[in-house]
Amino acid sequence: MRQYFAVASIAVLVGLGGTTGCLRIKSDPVEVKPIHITVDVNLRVQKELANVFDEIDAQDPTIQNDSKPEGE
Amino acid sequence: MRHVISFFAIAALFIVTPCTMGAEDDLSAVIQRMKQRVNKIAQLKQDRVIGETKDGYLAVVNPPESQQAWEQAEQLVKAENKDRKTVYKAIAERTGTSIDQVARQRAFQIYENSKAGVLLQKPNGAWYEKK
Repeated sequence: MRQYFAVASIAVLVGLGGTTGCLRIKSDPVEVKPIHITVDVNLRVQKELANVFDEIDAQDPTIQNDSKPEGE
Repeated sequence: MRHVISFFAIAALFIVTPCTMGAEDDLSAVIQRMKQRVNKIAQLKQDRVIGETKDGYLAVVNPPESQQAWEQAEQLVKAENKDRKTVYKAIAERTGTSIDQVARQRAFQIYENSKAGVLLQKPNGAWYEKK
């Protein structure tokens, strides 16, 4: 009976030891890709808008034409 | 047999016609129409009749007293907004964004570049004159 108890205790300890070893916090590098994608898309939209509206805005007396959008 | 061929020919016509109608209304024609409209729109903006919404479209803010002038302003705004939406849609498709995103960016450009006196809409829907 004592032997069984000893074996069971060792098994529990080994099990606990194994669990402790698994408790590792993995920290991955911060993902910045989506921000780049958003900025890229915004720039692309601005460029496309400029392609269409630059000439129209140039004729519009209610629009200041000295300020051009970024990426021009 | 002839009836079957006629049936398919007419059916094909019904399918193809709406597709070609969309192709006719291409972007260059839309831009051309917008260029032709720009002076009339600018005049209405300067008269504080119409303003630029927060969503990148035009709206009648102070309707003229004359019914005819009001209707003309409404028609002009409607036509311009339809063309703007076509442009926004084309850009959204090209850039993989939504029409609303493109329209909001255009609204921001207008907000930044409009001269003093132009009626602009705040995010809460209220109207103000650009200083």
